[in-house]
Amino acid sequence: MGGGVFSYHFPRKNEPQILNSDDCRERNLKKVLIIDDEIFFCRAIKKNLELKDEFQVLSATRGDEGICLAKDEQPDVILLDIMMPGMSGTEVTDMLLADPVTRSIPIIYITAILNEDDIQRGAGIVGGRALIAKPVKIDELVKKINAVC
Amino acid sequence: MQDSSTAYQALVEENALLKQKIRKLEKTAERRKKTEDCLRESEAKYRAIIQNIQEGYIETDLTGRWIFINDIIPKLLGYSRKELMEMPNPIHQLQSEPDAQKSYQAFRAIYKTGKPLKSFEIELIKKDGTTGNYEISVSLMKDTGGQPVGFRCISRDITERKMMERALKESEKQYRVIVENMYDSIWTMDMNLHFTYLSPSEIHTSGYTPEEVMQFPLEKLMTPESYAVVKRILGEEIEREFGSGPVDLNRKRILDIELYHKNGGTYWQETTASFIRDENGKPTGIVCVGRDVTARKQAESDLQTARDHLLQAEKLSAIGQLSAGVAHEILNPVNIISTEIQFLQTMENLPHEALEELEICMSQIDRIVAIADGLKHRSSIPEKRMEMANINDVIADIMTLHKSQLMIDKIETDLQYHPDLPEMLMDRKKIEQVMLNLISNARSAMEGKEKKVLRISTDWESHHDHVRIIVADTGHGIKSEHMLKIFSPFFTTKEQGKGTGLGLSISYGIVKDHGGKIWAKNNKWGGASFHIIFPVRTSHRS
Repeated sequence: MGGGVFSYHFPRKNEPQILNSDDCRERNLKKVLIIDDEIFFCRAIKKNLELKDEFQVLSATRGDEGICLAKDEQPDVILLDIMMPGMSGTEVTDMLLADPVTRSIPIIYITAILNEDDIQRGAGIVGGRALIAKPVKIDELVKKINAVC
Repeated sequence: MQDSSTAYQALVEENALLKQKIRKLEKTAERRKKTEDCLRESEAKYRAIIQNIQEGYIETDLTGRWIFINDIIPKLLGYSRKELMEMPNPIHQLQSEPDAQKSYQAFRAIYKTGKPLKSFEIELIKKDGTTGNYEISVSLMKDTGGQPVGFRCISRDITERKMMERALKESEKQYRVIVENMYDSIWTMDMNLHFTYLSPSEIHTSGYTPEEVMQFPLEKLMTPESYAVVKRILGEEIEREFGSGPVDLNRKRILDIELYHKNGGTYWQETTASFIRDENGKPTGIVCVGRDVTARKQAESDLQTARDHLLQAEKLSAIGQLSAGVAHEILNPVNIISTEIQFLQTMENLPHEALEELEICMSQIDRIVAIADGLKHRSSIPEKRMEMANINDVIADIMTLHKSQLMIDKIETDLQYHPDLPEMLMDRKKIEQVMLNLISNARSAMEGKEKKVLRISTDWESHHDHVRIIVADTGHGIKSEHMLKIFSPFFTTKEQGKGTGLGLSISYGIVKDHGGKIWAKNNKWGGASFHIIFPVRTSHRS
């Protein structure tokens, strides 16, 4: 029989892939939560970061979902898209800041609105938070994550 | 007896002789009487003529004393005949001193030369103090021996004519004052379009004197476009005039024409033209009244430019918002592709060729990102880093960076910085971007040209508080059909892959964000110039 079979395993939203915080600490992994409506982007980030064996990546494609995950999983850093349908990145930020449980989690914005030049010049809409422009350069992202946590 | 008869005979003869003499005398007396009658008749006739003519008649002796006047004279002057005849020196009594001197000279000349004087105008003061004007003819009066004994004068009252002349002169003067002092210019032409009159106000409007203008043919005085309009309208009017339809003799045409000024520029005149007609209504020439409407034309043109700008601004603003959205939508999938490629690049044992291909993919992603960035910058991102800077410095920095590139392209540079340019509040990076776009366009425009000169000048128009920057090239210029499109996004004349068509559109947005204006025009000497004006702002509030 010729040919081959390609199979692809789509992760379920609440797939029990998540290591608990203790496990992460034990393995010295940084827990990263990415909130972006582009599911393929979340996946690609996860693959890239986890390849380095320094990060464990959780993802959410909606703002409210991300807030729940942040509360439950207490990530070390949140990568947050600004322009999302439903709840925007800045609204998500407001909610996270309003909750003592999530208030101190550092946030890195990932955005297609501003480019690298704008960010270098410190475009002020996000109150001095770290920003990464799309398309994301993985090396840059790692540097920024390591800078905040 | 014989004696007595002889004596008788003698008496008879004597008697006859006497009779003969008496008859002769009688005849002579009769003839004389006849002659006297004739003379008397003749004298009465002439006297009647002299008395009844409308002209005054005066005879004077050589001292000027009047020895005879006709009845008109006392009527004319208001004096009685007696008063006049008793005046020792009427010339002095009836005239002002300067006039009397003139008259004296005139009479003296007649006396000397014997030549009569015709149509000599004098002014006499009447008894009531008013004056009258008279035209007199004077000749020398001689006795039978040919010796001068006095003067004969015939005078005609021209007071009324003089008054009319004065009124006419006054009226003419009034019109002349009006015509010569008005700023509208008036000119008349014959039917062959040769000038017959030009008002002195021409000097105010065209800078030329009327004499100078008269030397030019009409077509040299105005732009070819305006001359075409003049010819067309004249043609229409002549056709109407000599056509079969009814003709309004008082009709006029109003046309706007652009004329050359002596200073090399042009100015606009609103000209009202109509035919000059003879008594039969036949056109014999053209009269035109022109008013300088350059300011109005300029205002109209400014308004049009403002409208065009507004339209462009609205269009760009809408496109800006749209394109920012498009950019965002493009960047998201590009981001995913990029992240996936970066993942692939980290995979081990990937063949060398595959890595090269992935590198190409990444570089093409950079191109997409550059285009998307261009699109995003069309929408105004409120974050600006404003700083006080001098445009001269910005240009100098850019030129330093591009010096070598311009040298490679064999482009001469001519930088003319205004020495006292004020600093202004600007987003320096963006202004740099504008200058870069303009320089880049100039470079492209001059490709293939023999002489390549990039001229950048700055100027401070202090009366408007504007800084003006002109970037001029000696390239191919901008086609008129492109003129309105050049600031539209994606409009490019560069070959595919060389330009995104966003440079000028982005520049337009940046200049607008700074409260300025940008426009382009073709140079008379070839190539195009981009003009930018920025209001000199020193604070964020403005």
